[in-house]
Amino acid sequence: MSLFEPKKVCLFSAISGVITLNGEPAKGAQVKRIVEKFYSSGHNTDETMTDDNGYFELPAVFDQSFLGKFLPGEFSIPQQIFVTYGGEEYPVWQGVKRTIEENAESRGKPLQVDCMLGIEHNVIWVNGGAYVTQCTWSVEADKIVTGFENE
Amino acid sequence: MNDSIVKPIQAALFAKNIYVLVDIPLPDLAYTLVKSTFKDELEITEKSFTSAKTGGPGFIKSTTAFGLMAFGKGAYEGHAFVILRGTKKTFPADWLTNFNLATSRSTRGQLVHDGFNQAFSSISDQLEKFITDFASRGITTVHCIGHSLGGGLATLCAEFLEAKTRLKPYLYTFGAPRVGMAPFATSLTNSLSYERMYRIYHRTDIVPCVPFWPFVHAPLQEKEEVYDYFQPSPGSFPAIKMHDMAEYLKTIGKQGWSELRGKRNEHFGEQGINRWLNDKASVSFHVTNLEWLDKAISYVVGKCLKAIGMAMSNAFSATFTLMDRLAYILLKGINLATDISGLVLNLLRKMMSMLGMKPILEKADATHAFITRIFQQMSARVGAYCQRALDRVLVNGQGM
Repeated sequence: MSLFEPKKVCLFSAISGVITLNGEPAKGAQVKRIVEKFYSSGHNTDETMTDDNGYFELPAVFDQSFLGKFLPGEFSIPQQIFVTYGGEEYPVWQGVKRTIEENAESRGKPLQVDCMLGIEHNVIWVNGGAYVTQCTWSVEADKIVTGFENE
Repeated sequence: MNDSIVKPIQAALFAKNIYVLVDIPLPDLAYTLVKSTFKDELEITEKSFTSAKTGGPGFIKSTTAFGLMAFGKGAYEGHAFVILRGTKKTFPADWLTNFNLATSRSTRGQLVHDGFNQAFSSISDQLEKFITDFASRGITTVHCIGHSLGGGLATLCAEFLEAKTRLKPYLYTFGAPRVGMAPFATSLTNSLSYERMYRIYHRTDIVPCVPFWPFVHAPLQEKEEVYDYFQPSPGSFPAIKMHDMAEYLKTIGKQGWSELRGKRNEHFGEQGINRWLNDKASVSFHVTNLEWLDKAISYVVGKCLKAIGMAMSNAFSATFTLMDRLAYILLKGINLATDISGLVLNLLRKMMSMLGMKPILEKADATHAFITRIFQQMSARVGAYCQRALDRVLVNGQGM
Protein backbone atom coordinates (compact mmCIF):
# COMPACT_ATOMS: atom_id res chain seq x y z
CA MET A 1 0.00 0.00 0.00
CA SER A 2 1.47 3.32 -1.02
CA LEU A 3 2.16 5.95 1.56
CA PHE A 4 -0.60 8.27 0.49
CA GLU A 5 -3.26 5.86 -0.50
CA PRO A 6 -6.44 6.69 1.34
CA LYS A 7 -8.04 4.27 3.69
CA LYS A 8 -10.98 2.79 1.84
CA VAL A 9 -13.91 1.11 3.54
CA CYS A 10 -16.92 -0.60 2.05
CA LEU A 11 -20.22 0.84 3.33
CA PHE A 12 -22.53 -1.34 1.29
CA SER A 13 -21.42 -4.12 -1.04
CA ALA A 14 -22.64 -4.46 -4.60
CA ILE A 15 -26.09 -5.98 -4.41
CA SER A 16 -28.24 -7.56 -7.07
CA GLY A 17 -31.31 -9.73 -7.11
CA VAL A 18 -34.94 -10.26 -7.86
CA ILE A 19 -37.86 -8.57 -6.16
CA THR A 20 -41.24 -10.25 -6.09
CA LEU A 21 -44.65 -9.53 -4.65
CA ASN A 22 -46.85 -12.58 -4.01
CA GLY A 23 -44.55 -14.64 -6.21
CA GLU A 24 -44.79 -12.28 -9.19
CA PRO A 25 -41.80 -10.23 -10.30
CA ALA A 26 -42.09 -6.59 -9.26
CA LYS A 27 -41.57 -4.95 -12.66
CA GLY A 28 -40.43 -1.35 -12.78
CA ALA A 29 -40.19 -1.04 -9.01
CA GLN A 30 -38.09 1.79 -7.66
CA VAL A 31 -35.20 0.58 -5.50
CA LYS A 32 -33.72 3.25 -3.27
CA ARG A 33 -30.64 2.65 -1.18
CA ILE A 34 -29.49 4.87 1.69
CA VAL A 35 -26.23 4.26 3.51
CA GLU A 36 -24.57 6.32 6.18
CA LYS A 37 -21.04 7.57 5.60
CA PHE A 38 -18.22 6.69 7.95
CA TYR A 39 -15.65 9.46 7.71
CA SER A 40 -18.12 12.29 7.54
CA SER A 41 -21.69 12.85 8.52
CA GLY A 42 -24.47 12.38 6.04
CA HIS A 43 -25.72 9.71 3.71
CA ASN A 44 -25.09 8.27 0.30
CA THR A 45 -28.26 7.71 -1.66
CA ASP A 46 -28.65 5.97 -4.99
CA GLU A 47 -31.50 4.28 -6.79
CA THR A 48 -32.42 2.08 -9.69
CA MET A 49 -35.46 0.38 -11.27
CA THR A 50 -36.19 -3.31 -11.60
CA ASP A 51 -36.47 -4.76 -15.11
CA ASP A 52 -39.29 -6.92 -16.41
CA ASN A 53 -38.02 -9.86 -14.37
CA GLY A 54 -37.98 -7.84 -11.17
CA TYR A 55 -34.18 -7.82 -11.37
CA PHE A 56 -32.07 -4.95 -10.05
CA GLU A 57 -28.44 -4.25 -9.31
CA LEU A 58 -26.62 -1.56 -7.41
CA PRO A 59 -22.84 -1.07 -7.24
CA ALA A 60 -20.73 -1.17 -4.08
CA VAL A 61 -20.55 2.03 -2.03
CA PHE A 62 -17.23 3.02 -0.52
CA ASP A 63 -16.01 5.76 1.74
CA GLN A 64 -12.44 6.89 1.97
CA SER A 65 -10.32 9.41 3.72
CA PHE A 66 -6.83 10.80 3.18
CA LEU A 67 -6.32 13.20 6.00
CA GLY A 68 -9.75 13.30 7.53
CA LYS A 69 -9.21 12.95 11.21
CA PHE A 70 -8.60 9.29 11.37
CA LEU A 71 -9.40 8.27 14.84
CA PRO A 72 -10.25 5.20 16.79
CA GLY A 73 -13.85 4.32 16.17
CA GLU A 74 -16.23 1.45 15.73
CA PHE A 75 -17.25 0.75 12.16
CA SER A 76 -21.03 0.47 12.39
CA ILE A 77 -22.82 1.52 9.23
CA PRO A 78 -26.60 1.76 8.95
CA GLN A 79 -27.87 0.48 5.60
CA GLN A 80 -31.36 0.79 4.16
CA ILE A 81 -33.13 -0.26 0.99
CA PHE A 82 -36.67 0.83 0.26
CA VAL A 83 -38.64 -0.56 -2.65
CA THR A 84 -41.58 1.44 -3.99
CA TYR A 85 -44.00 -0.69 -5.96
CA GLY A 86 -47.67 -0.36 -6.69
CA GLY A 87 -47.79 2.90 -4.78
CA GLU A 88 -46.45 1.38 -1.61
CA GLU A 89 -43.04 1.65 0.01
CA TYR A 90 -41.46 -1.45 1.52
CA PRO A 91 -38.43 -1.33 3.88
CA VAL A 92 -36.90 -4.50 2.46
CA TRP A 93 -33.45 -4.07 3.96
CA GLN A 94 -32.47 -2.50 7.29
CA GLY A 95 -28.98 -3.49 8.23
CA VAL A 96 -25.82 -2.55 10.06
CA LYS A 97 -22.46 -3.45 8.54
CA ARG A 98 -19.75 -3.97 11.15
CA THR A 99 -16.67 -4.86 9.12
CA ILE A 100 -14.98 -2.82 6.40
CA GLU A 101 -14.54 -5.56 3.81
CA GLU A 102 -16.46 -5.74 0.57
CA ASN A 103 -19.13 -8.46 0.54
CA ALA A 104 -19.00 -8.83 4.31
CA GLU A 105 -22.80 -9.13 4.16
CA SER A 106 -22.40 -12.47 2.39
CA ARG A 107 -19.06 -13.67 3.78
CA GLY A 108 -17.05 -12.73 0.70
CA LYS A 109 -19.41 -14.03 -1.96
CA PRO A 110 -21.27 -11.65 -4.29
CA LEU A 111 -24.41 -10.42 -2.54
CA GLN A 112 -27.30 -11.83 -4.59
CA VAL A 113 -30.67 -11.58 -2.96
CA ASP A 114 -34.27 -12.63 -3.38
CA CYS A 115 -36.62 -10.10 -1.85
CA MET A 116 -40.28 -10.73 -1.20
CA LEU A 117 -42.25 -7.58 -0.63
CA GLY A 118 -44.68 -7.59 2.25
CA ILE A 119 -43.44 -10.69 4.07
CA GLU A 120 -42.47 -10.58 7.71
CA HIS A 121 -38.95 -9.32 8.32
CA ASN A 122 -36.25 -11.82 9.17
CA VAL A 123 -33.36 -11.07 11.49
CA ILE A 124 -29.98 -12.38 10.43
CA TRP A 125 -26.55 -11.70 11.92
CA VAL A 126 -23.56 -11.96 9.57
CA ASN A 127 -19.97 -10.99 10.38
CA GLY A 128 -21.03 -9.18 13.53
CA GLY A 129 -23.57 -7.08 11.66
CA ALA A 130 -27.31 -7.56 11.68
CA TYR A 131 -29.93 -7.33 8.95
CA VAL A 132 -33.66 -7.05 9.44
CA THR A 133 -34.87 -7.85 5.99
CA GLN A 134 -37.41 -9.24 3.55
CA CYS A 135 -34.57 -10.57 1.42
CA THR A 136 -32.81 -13.91 1.58
CA TRP A 137 -29.37 -14.75 0.28
CA SER A 138 -27.02 -17.66 0.44
CA VAL A 139 -24.99 -17.13 3.59
CA GLU A 140 -24.28 -18.88 6.82
CA ALA A 141 -25.59 -16.77 9.68
CA ASP A 142 -23.52 -15.99 12.77
CA LYS A 143 -24.41 -18.09 15.72
CA ILE A 144 -26.01 -15.56 18.02
CA VAL A 145 -23.82 -15.37 21.07
CA THR A 146 -25.04 -13.13 23.82
CA GLY A 147 -22.72 -14.53 26.45
CA PHE A 148 -25.72 -15.74 28.42
CA GLU A 149 -25.51 -19.29 27.11
CA ASN A 150 -25.23 -22.26 29.48
CA GLU A 151 -26.73 -20.44 32.38
CA MET B 1 -22.39 -10.77 45.01
CA ASN B 2 -20.73 -12.74 42.26
CA ASP B 3 -24.07 -14.16 41.23
CA SER B 4 -25.45 -10.78 40.40
CA ILE B 5 -22.68 -9.45 38.25
CA VAL B 6 -22.58 -9.73 34.52
CA LYS B 7 -19.86 -11.96 33.12
CA PRO B 8 -17.03 -10.31 31.16
CA ILE B 9 -18.14 -11.77 27.85
CA GLN B 10 -21.74 -10.71 28.45
CA ALA B 11 -20.74 -7.15 29.23
CA ALA B 12 -18.40 -7.11 26.22
CA LEU B 13 -21.07 -8.41 23.86
CA PHE B 14 -23.56 -5.86 25.11
CA ALA B 15 -20.98 -3.13 24.55
CA LYS B 16 -20.24 -4.48 21.06
CA ASN B 17 -23.78 -5.19 19.96
CA ILE B 18 -25.22 -1.90 21.14
CA TYR B 19 -23.73 -0.34 18.00
CA VAL B 20 -25.79 -2.65 15.82
CA LEU B 21 -28.92 -2.52 17.96
CA VAL B 22 -29.22 1.24 17.87
CA ASP B 23 -28.02 1.72 14.31
CA ILE B 24 -30.93 -0.09 12.66
CA PRO B 25 -32.69 2.98 11.28
CA LEU B 26 -36.36 2.04 11.61
CA PRO B 27 -37.52 1.84 15.27
CA ASP B 28 -40.02 -0.97 14.65
CA LEU B 29 -37.39 -3.11 13.02
CA ALA B 30 -34.82 -2.19 15.66
CA TYR B 31 -37.30 -3.52 18.18
CA THR B 32 -37.62 -6.75 16.20
CA LEU B 33 -33.85 -7.07 16.17
CA VAL B 34 -33.37 -6.48 19.90
CA LYS B 35 -36.22 -8.80 20.76
CA SER B 36 -34.96 -11.63 18.59
CA THR B 37 -31.38 -11.27 19.81
CA PHE B 38 -32.05 -11.05 23.55
CA LYS B 39 -35.32 -12.95 23.79
CA ASP B 40 -34.21 -14.91 26.84
CA GLU B 41 -32.30 -12.19 28.66
CA LEU B 42 -34.04 -8.88 28.27
CA GLU B 43 -37.66 -8.11 28.70
CA ILE B 44 -38.75 -5.94 25.86
CA THR B 45 -42.26 -4.86 25.10
CA GLU B 46 -43.16 -3.16 21.88
CA LYS B 47 -45.18 -0.46 23.55
CA SER B 48 -42.43 0.85 25.74
CA PHE B 49 -39.93 0.47 22.97
CA THR B 50 -41.43 2.73 20.41
CA SER B 51 -43.17 5.33 22.50
CA ALA B 52 -40.39 7.40 23.91
CA LYS B 53 -42.66 9.69 25.90
CA THR B 54 -44.03 7.05 28.21
CA GLY B 55 -40.63 6.39 29.72
CA GLY B 56 -39.79 2.90 30.84
CA PRO B 57 -37.39 0.67 29.00
CA GLY B 58 -36.48 1.26 25.38
CA PHE B 59 -34.04 3.11 23.25
CA ILE B 60 -32.22 6.18 24.37
CA LYS B 61 -31.69 8.56 21.52
CA SER B 62 -30.34 12.05 21.47
CA THR B 63 -28.16 13.85 19.00
CA THR B 64 -25.03 12.90 20.92
CA ALA B 65 -25.77 9.59 22.63
CA PHE B 66 -27.52 6.35 21.85
CA GLY B 67 -28.35 3.45 24.04
CA LEU B 68 -30.72 0.88 25.34
CA MET B 69 -32.48 0.66 28.69
CA ALA B 70 -33.97 -2.70 29.54
CA PHE B 71 -35.03 -4.95 32.37
CA GLY B 72 -33.52 -8.38 32.70
CA LYS B 73 -35.43 -11.62 32.88
CA GLY B 74 -34.68 -15.24 33.65
CA ALA B 75 -31.37 -15.31 35.49
CA TYR B 76 -31.42 -11.50 35.46
CA GLU B 77 -34.85 -10.96 36.95
CA GLY B 78 -34.73 -7.86 39.10
CA HIS B 79 -31.84 -6.37 37.11
CA ALA B 80 -31.86 -3.26 34.98
CA PHE B 81 -29.42 -2.57 32.14
CA VAL B 82 -28.28 0.67 30.60
CA ILE B 83 -26.03 0.10 27.59
CA LEU B 84 -24.57 3.17 25.92
CA ARG B 85 -22.55 4.38 22.99
CA GLY B 86 -21.61 7.77 21.63
CA THR B 87 -23.10 8.84 18.31
CA LYS B 88 -19.80 9.67 16.70
CA LYS B 89 -18.41 6.70 14.88
CA THR B 90 -14.91 8.01 15.23
CA PHE B 91 -13.58 9.59 18.36
CA PRO B 92 -13.49 13.39 18.04
CA ALA B 93 -9.85 14.42 17.84
CA ASP B 94 -10.21 17.75 19.53
CA TRP B 95 -11.63 16.09 22.63
CA LEU B 96 -8.46 14.12 22.98
CA THR B 97 -5.60 16.38 22.22
CA ASN B 98 -6.61 19.74 23.58
CA PHE B 99 -5.19 20.22 27.04
CA ASN B 100 -7.35 23.16 28.01
CA LEU B 101 -10.55 21.22 27.97
CA ALA B 102 -13.74 22.70 29.26
CA THR B 103 -15.22 21.16 32.36
CA SER B 104 -18.65 21.20 33.91
CA ARG B 105 -20.39 19.71 36.95
CA SER B 106 -21.61 16.12 37.09
CA THR B 107 -24.73 14.90 38.95
CA ARG B 108 -22.82 14.98 42.22
CA GLY B 109 -21.28 18.35 41.45
CA GLN B 110 -17.85 17.07 40.43
CA LEU B 111 -15.79 18.47 37.60
CA VAL B 112 -15.96 16.36 34.49
CA HIS B 113 -15.17 16.72 30.81
CA ASP B 114 -17.81 19.00 29.36
CA GLY B 115 -18.11 17.05 26.11
CA PHE B 116 -19.04 13.84 27.90
CA ASN B 117 -21.23 15.71 30.35
CA GLN B 118 -23.24 17.40 27.62
CA ALA B 119 -23.76 14.10 25.84
CA PHE B 120 -24.89 12.56 29.11
CA SER B 121 -27.21 15.47 29.94
CA SER B 122 -28.98 14.88 26.65
CA ILE B 123 -30.15 11.46 27.88
CA SER B 124 -30.56 12.03 31.62
CA ASP B 125 -34.29 12.85 31.28
CA GLN B 126 -34.88 9.47 29.68
CA LEU B 127 -32.91 7.76 32.44
CA GLU B 128 -34.94 9.61 35.01
CA LYS B 129 -38.13 8.15 33.53
CA PHE B 130 -36.57 4.72 33.39
CA ILE B 131 -35.80 4.67 37.11
CA THR B 132 -39.35 5.58 38.10
CA ASP B 133 -40.22 1.95 37.30
CA PHE B 134 -37.47 0.50 39.48
CA ALA B 135 -39.49 0.25 42.69
CA SER B 136 -42.60 -1.36 41.19
CA ARG B 137 -40.42 -3.77 39.27
CA GLY B 138 -38.42 -4.76 42.32
CA ILE B 139 -35.14 -3.81 40.69
CA THR B 140 -32.26 -4.66 43.00
CA THR B 141 -29.31 -4.43 40.64
CA VAL B 142 -28.43 -2.05 37.84
CA HIS B 143 -25.66 -2.39 35.28
CA CYS B 144 -24.12 0.44 33.22
CA ILE B 145 -22.14 -0.76 30.22
CA GLY B 146 -20.27 0.96 27.40
CA HIS B 147 -17.27 1.02 25.07
CA SER B 148 -15.20 4.07 24.15
CA LEU B 149 -17.34 7.23 24.41
CA GLY B 150 -20.13 4.94 25.52
CA GLY B 151 -17.88 3.91 28.43
CA GLY B 152 -17.47 7.56 29.37
CA LEU B 153 -21.23 7.98 29.28
CA ALA B 154 -21.75 4.76 31.27
CA THR B 155 -19.45 6.17 33.95
CA LEU B 156 -21.58 9.31 34.25
CA CYS B 157 -24.67 7.13 34.15
CA ALA B 158 -23.40 5.08 37.12
CA GLU B 159 -22.87 8.25 39.13
CA PHE B 160 -26.33 9.48 38.15
CA LEU B 161 -28.06 6.24 39.12
CA GLU B 162 -26.14 6.04 42.38
CA ALA B 163 -27.27 9.57 43.25
CA LYS B 164 -30.89 9.16 42.13
CA THR B 165 -31.71 5.65 43.37
CA ARG B 166 -30.90 3.57 46.42
CA LEU B 167 -28.91 1.17 44.32
CA LYS B 168 -25.20 0.91 43.84
CA PRO B 169 -24.73 0.40 40.11
CA TYR B 170 -22.20 -1.91 38.54
CA LEU B 171 -20.10 -0.18 35.92
CA TYR B 172 -18.43 -1.98 33.00
CA THR B 173 -16.30 -0.01 30.57
CA PHE B 174 -14.11 -1.05 27.65
CA GLY B 175 -11.43 1.33 26.39
CA ALA B 176 -13.17 4.28 27.98
CA PRO B 177 -11.60 7.74 28.08
CA ARG B 178 -11.03 9.65 31.30
CA VAL B 179 -14.23 11.31 32.33
CA GLY B 180 -13.42 13.60 35.20
CA MET B 181 -10.84 15.08 37.50
CA ALA B 182 -9.49 13.45 40.62
CA PRO B 183 -12.36 14.58 42.90
CA PHE B 184 -14.86 12.98 40.51
CA ALA B 185 -12.86 9.75 40.41
CA THR B 186 -12.53 9.73 44.21
CA SER B 187 -16.19 10.47 44.75
CA LEU B 188 -17.30 7.77 42.32
CA THR B 189 -14.85 5.22 43.69
CA ASN B 190 -16.11 5.90 47.21
CA SER B 191 -19.79 5.78 46.35
CA LEU B 192 -19.72 2.71 44.08
CA SER B 193 -16.66 1.02 45.60
CA TYR B 194 -13.97 -0.19 43.25
CA GLU B 195 -15.26 -3.77 43.40
CA ARG B 196 -18.25 -2.69 41.33
CA MET B 197 -16.16 -0.95 38.70
CA TYR B 198 -14.97 -3.13 35.84
CA ARG B 199 -12.70 -0.94 33.80
CA ILE B 200 -11.15 -3.04 31.06
CA TYR B 201 -8.51 -1.43 28.89
CA HIS B 202 -5.67 -2.51 26.66
CA ARG B 203 -2.31 -1.08 27.59
CA THR B 204 -1.83 0.32 24.10
CA ASP B 205 -5.38 1.49 23.44
CA ILE B 206 -5.06 5.19 22.80
CA VAL B 207 -8.45 6.29 24.09
CA PRO B 208 -7.92 5.49 27.79
CA CYS B 209 -4.71 7.61 27.59
CA VAL B 210 -6.77 10.72 27.04
CA PRO B 211 -7.75 13.37 27.90
CA PHE B 212 -4.41 13.85 29.64
CA TRP B 213 -4.03 14.85 33.27
CA PRO B 214 -5.83 16.38 35.26
CA PHE B 215 -8.43 13.97 33.94
CA VAL B 216 -8.00 10.64 35.67
CA HIS B 217 -9.68 7.27 35.59
CA ALA B 218 -12.01 5.91 38.19
CA PRO B 219 -11.47 3.81 40.20
CA LEU B 220 -8.54 5.79 41.51
CA GLN B 221 -5.70 3.45 42.33
CA GLU B 222 -4.26 5.24 45.28
CA LYS B 223 -4.41 2.19 47.48
CA GLU B 224 -2.61 -1.06 46.75
CA GLU B 225 -5.74 -3.17 47.08
CA VAL B 226 -7.60 -1.24 44.37
CA TYR B 227 -7.40 -3.00 41.04
CA ASP B 228 -8.62 -2.45 37.53
CA TYR B 229 -8.75 -4.66 34.48
CA PHE B 230 -5.59 -3.61 32.70
CA GLN B 231 -4.88 -5.95 29.78
CA PRO B 232 -1.38 -6.26 28.38
CA SER B 233 -1.24 -5.60 24.65
CA PRO B 234 1.82 -5.67 22.41
CA GLY B 235 4.11 -2.72 21.64
CA SER B 236 5.07 0.52 23.34
CA PHE B 237 2.90 2.79 21.23
CA PRO B 238 -0.83 3.24 21.25
CA ALA B 239 -2.51 1.45 18.38
CA ILE B 240 -5.93 2.26 17.02
CA LYS B 241 -6.68 -1.39 16.49
CA MET B 242 -6.45 -2.15 20.19
CA HIS B 243 -9.40 0.15 20.76
CA ASP B 244 -11.77 -1.99 18.70
CA MET B 245 -14.47 -3.78 20.62
CA ALA B 246 -13.63 -6.87 18.55
CA GLU B 247 -10.11 -6.85 20.05
CA TYR B 248 -11.53 -6.54 23.56
CA LEU B 249 -13.73 -9.54 22.91
CA LYS B 250 -10.72 -11.54 21.75
CA THR B 251 -8.75 -10.55 24.84
CA ILE B 252 -11.57 -11.43 27.19
CA GLY B 253 -12.50 -14.75 25.64
CA LYS B 254 -14.13 -16.89 28.27
CA GLN B 255 -12.15 -15.56 31.20
CA GLY B 256 -13.86 -14.61 34.41
CA TRP B 257 -13.34 -11.30 36.21
CA SER B 258 -10.85 -12.78 38.65
CA GLU B 259 -8.70 -13.99 35.76
CA LEU B 260 -8.82 -10.63 34.04
CA ARG B 261 -7.66 -8.53 36.94
CA GLY B 262 -4.28 -8.06 38.50
CA LYS B 263 -2.40 -8.37 35.21
CA ARG B 264 -0.27 -5.39 35.88
CA ASN B 265 3.32 -5.87 36.96
CA GLU B 266 3.82 -2.34 38.15
CA HIS B 267 2.22 -1.06 41.29
CA PHE B 268 1.22 2.52 41.18
CA GLY B 269 1.21 2.76 44.95
CA GLU B 270 3.06 5.40 46.93
CA GLN B 271 6.26 3.36 47.03
CA GLY B 272 6.26 2.69 43.32
CA ILE B 273 5.65 6.32 42.45
CA ASN B 274 8.41 7.47 44.79
CA ARG B 275 10.78 4.96 43.26
CA TRP B 276 9.91 6.11 39.75
CA LEU B 277 10.27 9.79 40.68
CA ASN B 278 13.58 9.35 42.47
CA ASP B 279 15.15 7.15 39.83
CA LYS B 280 17.80 9.29 38.16
CA ALA B 281 17.91 7.32 34.92
CA SER B 282 16.53 9.16 31.94
CA VAL B 283 13.09 8.13 30.78
CA SER B 284 11.77 7.93 27.27
CA PHE B 285 8.40 9.01 26.02
CA HIS B 286 6.26 5.93 25.78
CA VAL B 287 2.99 4.63 27.02
CA THR B 288 4.19 3.08 30.27
CA ASN B 289 6.11 6.19 31.31
CA LEU B 290 3.14 8.35 30.42
CA GLU B 291 1.05 6.29 32.77
CA TRP B 292 3.65 6.62 35.51
CA LEU B 293 3.87 10.35 34.91
CA ASP B 294 0.15 10.62 35.15
CA LYS B 295 0.03 8.87 38.50
CA ALA B 296 3.05 10.82 39.71
CA ILE B 297 1.46 14.19 38.91
CA SER B 298 -1.71 13.24 40.78
CA TYR B 299 0.35 12.00 43.69
CA VAL B 300 2.64 15.02 43.93
CA VAL B 301 -0.17 17.54 43.51
CA GLY B 302 -2.12 15.68 46.17
CA LYS B 303 0.87 15.86 48.55
CA CYS B 304 1.29 19.60 47.91
CA LEU B 305 -2.39 20.31 48.50
CA LYS B 306 -2.39 18.34 51.71
CA ALA B 307 0.69 20.16 52.96
CA ILE B 308 -0.67 23.59 52.14
CA GLY B 309 -4.06 22.65 53.55
CA MET B 310 -6.12 23.00 50.42
CA ALA B 311 -8.77 20.54 49.33
CA MET B 312 -8.52 19.12 45.83
CA SER B 313 -12.07 20.23 45.09
CA ASN B 314 -11.15 23.82 45.89
CA ALA B 315 -7.90 23.71 44.01
CA PHE B 316 -9.61 23.30 40.67
CA SER B 317 -12.74 25.25 40.08
CA ALA B 318 -14.71 25.27 36.86
CA THR B 319 -13.27 28.63 35.95
CA PHE B 320 -9.63 27.91 36.71
CA THR B 321 -6.85 28.44 34.32
CA LEU B 322 -5.45 25.01 34.77
CA MET B 323 -1.81 25.81 34.06
CA ASP B 324 -1.80 28.74 36.45
CA ARG B 325 -3.38 26.78 39.25
CA LEU B 326 -1.08 23.86 38.73
CA ALA B 327 2.02 26.01 38.68
CA TYR B 328 0.82 27.83 41.77
CA ILE B 329 0.26 24.61 43.71
CA LEU B 330 3.57 23.05 42.69
CA LEU B 331 5.46 26.23 43.44
CA LYS B 332 3.94 26.26 46.90
CA GLY B 333 5.13 22.70 47.25
CA ILE B 334 8.66 23.55 46.20
CA ASN B 335 8.84 26.31 48.76
CA LEU B 336 7.81 24.08 51.62
CA ALA B 337 10.62 23.16 53.94
CA THR B 338 9.84 19.46 53.70
CA ASP B 339 10.73 16.57 51.43
CA ILE B 340 7.76 17.55 49.27
CA SER B 341 9.99 20.21 47.81
CA GLY B 342 12.36 17.56 46.47
CA LEU B 343 9.45 15.49 45.22
CA VAL B 344 8.11 18.35 43.10
CA LEU B 345 11.58 19.07 41.70
CA ASN B 346 12.02 15.40 40.83
CA LEU B 347 8.66 15.41 39.07
CA LEU B 348 9.71 18.40 36.97
CA ARG B 349 13.08 16.75 36.22
CA LYS B 350 11.28 13.63 35.12
CA MET B 351 9.10 15.65 32.79
CA MET B 352 12.15 17.44 31.40
CA SER B 353 13.77 14.08 30.78
CA MET B 354 10.70 12.79 28.97
CA LEU B 355 10.70 15.94 26.88
CA GLY B 356 14.28 15.23 25.86
CA MET B 357 15.75 18.03 27.95
CA LYS B 358 18.70 17.68 30.31
CA PRO B 359 17.03 17.24 33.69
CA ILE B 360 19.14 19.84 35.43
CA LEU B 361 16.97 21.92 37.68
CA GLU B 362 17.67 23.84 40.84
CA LYS B 363 15.05 25.13 43.20
CA ALA B 364 15.65 28.73 42.16
CA ASP B 365 15.03 27.90 38.48
CA ALA B 366 11.58 26.51 39.13
CA THR B 367 9.58 29.67 38.63
CA HIS B 368 5.89 29.90 37.92
CA ALA B 369 6.64 30.59 34.25
CA PHE B 370 9.03 27.66 34.05
CA ILE B 371 6.59 25.17 35.54
CA THR B 372 3.81 26.40 33.28
CA ARG B 373 6.08 26.01 30.26
CA ILE B 374 7.07 22.44 31.15
CA PHE B 375 3.44 21.45 31.54
CA GLN B 376 2.47 23.16 28.31
CA GLN B 377 5.26 21.38 26.47
CA MET B 378 4.24 18.06 27.98
CA SER B 379 0.66 18.66 26.96
CA ALA B 380 1.67 19.57 23.42
CA ARG B 381 3.89 16.52 23.33
CA VAL B 382 1.09 14.20 24.44
CA GLY B 383 -1.18 15.75 21.81
CA ALA B 384 1.45 15.27 19.12
CA TYR B 385 2.06 11.75 20.36
CA CYS B 386 -1.58 10.83 20.00
CA GLN B 387 -1.65 12.45 16.59
CA ARG B 388 1.45 10.52 15.52
CA ALA B 389 -0.08 7.28 16.62
CA LEU B 390 -3.11 8.17 14.55
CA ASP B 391 -0.99 9.23 11.58
CA ARG B 392 0.92 6.00 11.71
CA VAL B 393 -2.32 4.16 11.43
CA LEU B 394 -3.36 6.39 8.56
CA VAL B 395 -0.13 5.71 6.70
CA ASN B 396 -0.16 2.01 7.35
CA GLY B 397 -3.76 1.89 6.34
CA GLN B 398 -4.68 -0.42 9.16
CA GLY B 399 -6.64 0.19 12.20
CA MET B 400 -10.24 -0.76 11.88
